[in-house]
Amino acid sequence: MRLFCIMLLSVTMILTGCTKKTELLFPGTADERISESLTAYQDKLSGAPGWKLFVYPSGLLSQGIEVGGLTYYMKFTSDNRVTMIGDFNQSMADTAKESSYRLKALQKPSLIFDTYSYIHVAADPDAAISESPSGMNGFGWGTDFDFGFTSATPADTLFLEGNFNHSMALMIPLSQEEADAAFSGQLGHIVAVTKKFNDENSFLYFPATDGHKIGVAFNLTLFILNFNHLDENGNLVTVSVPFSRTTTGIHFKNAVTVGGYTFQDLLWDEAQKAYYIESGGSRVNITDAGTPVIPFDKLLGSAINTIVVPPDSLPGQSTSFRTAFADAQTSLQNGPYGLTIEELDYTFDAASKTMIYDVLVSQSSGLYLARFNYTYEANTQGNIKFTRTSANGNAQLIVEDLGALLQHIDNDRFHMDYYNTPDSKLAQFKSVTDPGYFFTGNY
Amino acid sequence: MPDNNVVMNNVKQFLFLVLVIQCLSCRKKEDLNYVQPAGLGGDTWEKTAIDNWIYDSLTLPYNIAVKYKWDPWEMQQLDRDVTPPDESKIISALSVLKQVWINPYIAETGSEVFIKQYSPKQLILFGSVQYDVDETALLGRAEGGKSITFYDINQNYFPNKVSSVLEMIHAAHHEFAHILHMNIMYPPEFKTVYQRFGLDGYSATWFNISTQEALSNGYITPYASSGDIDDFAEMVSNMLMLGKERFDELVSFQNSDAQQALRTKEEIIVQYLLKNYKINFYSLQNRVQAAVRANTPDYVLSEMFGFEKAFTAVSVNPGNPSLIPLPAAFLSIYNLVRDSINASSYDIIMDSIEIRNQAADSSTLRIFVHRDETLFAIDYIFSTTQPGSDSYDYTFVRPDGSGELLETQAAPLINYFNDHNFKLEWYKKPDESIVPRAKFIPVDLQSAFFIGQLVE
Repeated sequence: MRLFCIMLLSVTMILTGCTKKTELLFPGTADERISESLTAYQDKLSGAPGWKLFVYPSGLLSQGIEVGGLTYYMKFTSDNRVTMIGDFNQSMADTAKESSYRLKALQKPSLIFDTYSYIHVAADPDAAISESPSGMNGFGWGTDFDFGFTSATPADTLFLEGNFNHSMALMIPLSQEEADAAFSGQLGHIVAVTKKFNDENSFLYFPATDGHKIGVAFNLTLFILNFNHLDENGNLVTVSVPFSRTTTGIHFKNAVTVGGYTFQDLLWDEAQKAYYIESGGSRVNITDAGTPVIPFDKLLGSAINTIVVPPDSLPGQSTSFRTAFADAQTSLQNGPYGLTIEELDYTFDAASKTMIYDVLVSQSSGLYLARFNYTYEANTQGNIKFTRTSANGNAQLIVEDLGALLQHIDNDRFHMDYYNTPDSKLAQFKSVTDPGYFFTGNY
Repeated sequence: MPDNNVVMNNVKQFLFLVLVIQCLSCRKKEDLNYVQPAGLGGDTWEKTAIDNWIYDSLTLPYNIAVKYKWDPWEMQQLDRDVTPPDESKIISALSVLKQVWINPYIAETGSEVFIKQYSPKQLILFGSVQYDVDETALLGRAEGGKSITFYDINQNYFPNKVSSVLEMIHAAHHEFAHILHMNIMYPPEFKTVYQRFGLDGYSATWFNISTQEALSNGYITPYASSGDIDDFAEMVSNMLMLGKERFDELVSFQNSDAQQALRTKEEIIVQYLLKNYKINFYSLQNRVQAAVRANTPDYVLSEMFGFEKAFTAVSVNPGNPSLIPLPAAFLSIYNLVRDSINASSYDIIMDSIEIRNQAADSSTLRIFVHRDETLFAIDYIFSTTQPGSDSYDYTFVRPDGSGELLETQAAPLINYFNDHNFKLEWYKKPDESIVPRAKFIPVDLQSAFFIGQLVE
């Protein structure tokens, strides 16, 4: 019996000992799934006639610098090659460049532009190459060229996040026509006409649904668009949107609602050479108002901060101002320090109602700053009176030399407004106290 | 009743069989068709001409792999903004590297064995430099003899081809010198050379030291003063980068203690390489210099000297005849002016002159004088035309500032420049001397030429 038991046990062991089986929680192993994911993305990328990649750099936010968007049109092949154009500057929009890319399983399936191309220029740590808004080496635009897909399976629109600066990005497949247009000059055309449109029209606006004017101000340096209007209390409201350029015009990071319209693009009308908004079936043209859309005093200290008066004369400056400037210049040059005025800066802050009056002076190769601090208040007519609160050491040394240049600021009440000529947009200080004294500066 | 033994035998046979089956049953055939971990064995991509060049030129002959595609994890480049290299720059950079570093060693040792044995097994390339928080730029890096990283392959930091090649030599030979001493250590007396000559020792705060300060303590660069191993690597790499002529020149400009320290270290290195690796250092140095010349454009004087060029002026100081040897025909004019200025009523001593390109069409003859500790510049303005790229025609316009006071005394020099057309040629090119100099030859009075040191 004992023997039988041993035999039975042995037979049971033989029969059961080998039936091992592992149940997987997900279909396939992690490696199978990441490989499938990479293959799916690869097929998706090389399967479309092309892609547009929008990147919204976020690496400079920690320095307090917000930048707009960057668009790249790309064609991927299945053998790791990519050809791209971009809207970062005119030449990148005009001429395509080929480089390499690869898909790699990092913590997420990742798309890496692994040799240098246009997408790396804005990331170049050499500030002279990237024209970094930080002005420093080591940051570029805080953008990325190495992205993780945020989803394991590709959808129609691919969402990505930069692996270094964590910039938000998305990719949209192109139709054949759109790819052909982009790579045969349409993107370059839009980059060029946008600049021209902005250069030739000083006071762009569109009418809101209720008829009031919404000012449209491009910042083509940082790729940000500002919509300005006054609310019912007469306060300035600014809506800032990051944008980049596409083959059809200006594309915003997010849809924006301004003046009763909701839209995500400004579309270029080639026949009318102008931008327009399409919203809810209606078309709204963006045109030049001919005169400023927002009164000067609403912008002073918020949208218009610093007014710079160069040593050379500008239109809209009175003889008595030029005389006062020349007298100060002579007095400084003949003074003990042999100084030359390089620039007068008036920096306003509406929130604190303060104005900083900087006189930049040079002495052989060195540049020095004489600073006078003021507070200001406007009377019911909007005319401004300054009150000096303090001055730095340099400023105290040259108070006497500045003479009438400083006395007018100290004593007069000023009317401030735009001063527009066909060639330049200036700001003007016009003394109400002494109507013969007025001057202009750049803002 | 069966025989118990027979039964037991049957049972034993059965149990043995069971054991055998059990053992065999463990030879399970695993399903090995599992998908391998993605990326196992490294990334792959379609080979390009670059990959083939690298394989044929570096990997196959010397077992050196090159990573140039962006891979921040393996390249240990995770915390700073850096870009990958541009494909168009890779082969030319590696080709230069091979010629200035690998080929000279092969030629010197007579076989590829040396490089195969000692070369780092991986080169890593980046397009940009790496900026640190204080904006200092990192140009090269080495990982324990295994890997050397080269930055700025795109040549944006050093857009000048010459500087770019020199920096590559510097990085490659510096890191390779580390590998050599890790295999066979240099003699311990290298570490105490500074003590023998009473100079400053190694310092962790080397980055606060100027190049001149380092040299005056017998260190070839500030980094060399950080410790003896980097002193060794910097000496080797800088001597190869400069070449013997310019290294000797650099040494000769230092104080005698620093000269002796540099010479002692040089001698230790030469003997070390000869004894341990059978390498003739000076011959290696010549080979590296020949490779540099073959890979850099020739120095063109008219591209380097002029208004808004690398050098805008020449300085002529006859007080240093070994640096600026001047012919008697020029010296007689110069000395005439010097003697009459020194004899003037202003109690001043004339030191040197400078010809400065102030604008594309204007030059200044500047006479430097001093009274006690104070220096003065006496200026005479000339209009300039350039009949050819290397020729200058000066026409005297007017004295400037205090120049008026000494116009009579300066007249022979003013006339010398006004009366002749000058042809410019190299006296010593930047690859021949650390003090590049040009020769100004009056076309109609060639014996009265002068030599000037190019200055910024």
